[in-house]
Amino acid sequence: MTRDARPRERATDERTRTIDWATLSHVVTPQALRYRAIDVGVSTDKRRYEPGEPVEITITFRNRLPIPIRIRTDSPNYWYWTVDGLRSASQVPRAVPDRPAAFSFTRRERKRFQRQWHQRMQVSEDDWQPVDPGRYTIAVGLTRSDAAAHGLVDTAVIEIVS
Amino acid sequence: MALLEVDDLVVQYYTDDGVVRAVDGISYEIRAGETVGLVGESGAGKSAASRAVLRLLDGAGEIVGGEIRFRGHDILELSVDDLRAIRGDEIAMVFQDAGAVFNPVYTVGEQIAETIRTHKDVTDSEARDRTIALIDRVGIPNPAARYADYPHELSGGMQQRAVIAMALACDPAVLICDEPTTGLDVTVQAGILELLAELAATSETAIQLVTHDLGVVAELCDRVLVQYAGEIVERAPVDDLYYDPKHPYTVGLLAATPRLGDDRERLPTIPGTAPDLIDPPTGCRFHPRCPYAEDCCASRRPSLVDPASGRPDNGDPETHVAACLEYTGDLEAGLDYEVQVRDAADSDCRERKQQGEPR
Repeated sequence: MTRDARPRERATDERTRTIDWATLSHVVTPQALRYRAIDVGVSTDKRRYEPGEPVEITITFRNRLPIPIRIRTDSPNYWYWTVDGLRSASQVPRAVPDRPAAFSFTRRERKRFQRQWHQRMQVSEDDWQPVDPGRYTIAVGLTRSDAAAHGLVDTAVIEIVS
Repeated sequence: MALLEVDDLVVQYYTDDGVVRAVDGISYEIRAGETVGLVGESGAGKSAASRAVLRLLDGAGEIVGGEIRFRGHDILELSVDDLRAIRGDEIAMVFQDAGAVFNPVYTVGEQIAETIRTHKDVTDSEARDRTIALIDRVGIPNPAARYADYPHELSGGMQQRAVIAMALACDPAVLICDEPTTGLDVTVQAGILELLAELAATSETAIQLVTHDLGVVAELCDRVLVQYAGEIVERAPVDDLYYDPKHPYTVGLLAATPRLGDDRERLPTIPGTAPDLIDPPTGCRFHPRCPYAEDCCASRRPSLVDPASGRPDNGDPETHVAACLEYTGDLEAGLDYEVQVRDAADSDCRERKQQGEPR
């Protein structure tokens, strides 16, 4: 049956008739400019929290340029968030394949995501422990070994009061 | 040995928002001739788990852990050719959107016959005869004429029957039905269920029925797996699950099932919504919606245990197991719900009350 062949045919047609601006932009935009184009931001709904109060985290990635931008990442999990250096507030590593992927933005695109931290750290597969009062650093970055060097990380500090 | 064994299966999807762990370490097995229901709300990961069995996850989905064994062979290790030989022949699938299954520019009969020709050594006319017999078997009238119909010429119910006919084309050992009655009106739904029930009763084909409809499960299944937020939270023979549910989520699902003669003005619902599988709740994933949740539920993930003894799941598919901290003695107030069993035949109403007892 030719069912599978038909979308490919159509895709070929589209390729010949239109320009893939995202790919073209990726080819012609210098790498240094791509890094500078993406603004990474993290913010919380408050700075001080009562013990046990959920921390609402807002993560924003913004393409500053009027052209599509694509950034290579080290895994299909394009970005991460940490609490005091622990990814997703967990000491348990999650299985994510170690293969390159690309985080894509259309022109001037802003991507905004939410996370909630319940002031607990995962210490084993089945256990979470509440954290003590104090200051905690919440960080967000693209999954690249050189993310910090290229300014693709951001941090916010919160305080849990006793 | 079980026909199909799924062991600690993990399925992930990658999105801009993060990693969606649609299936998180589920294990189950299906034996020849039995019908197993996989129930849960939309977004619980039922379809992802079922598609993973045939490695039919779409682009962004990936199996990252676990094993799927069919007749002892790991499906995840099979070559593309070996897998293609199993798909449609040994393990077949009935998808929920029948209209999207068929190619609109080929006749229904030709598409079913193609499945037969691919897997069996038959002539064109033998494949055609067998297709007409299958169309007849699934209850589509005038099968010889329907063979030459295009998909758009069939009604929704007939399309679903034709999809079942295609799935049965090679007498599969396992039939995976992914919400086969979704989108059909109740009379057509009843017809499809009757067809599946007859199939279960008259053949050795094992059926994995994915649904969010507990009424359908009661009608068809021997055993039930209740899936919530990517995890199995209860597993039981069908009677045990209905007469003595052990997990608060199952209790909520059963309470929300409409019944004839029910005099309640409004059906109870489970408060809240299914959790985000990118960032699921800590501890027991059901705790934000559970009326019996205590502090420990947010910090400890319960595993499947035998509710009577509190011992870990021994893997016996006939054992009733549930994942709730109540059964490991961690809840102080316990579970407090009652199960009413109404016998429709004599209108006799028996009542049992399950009280959570502090251990």
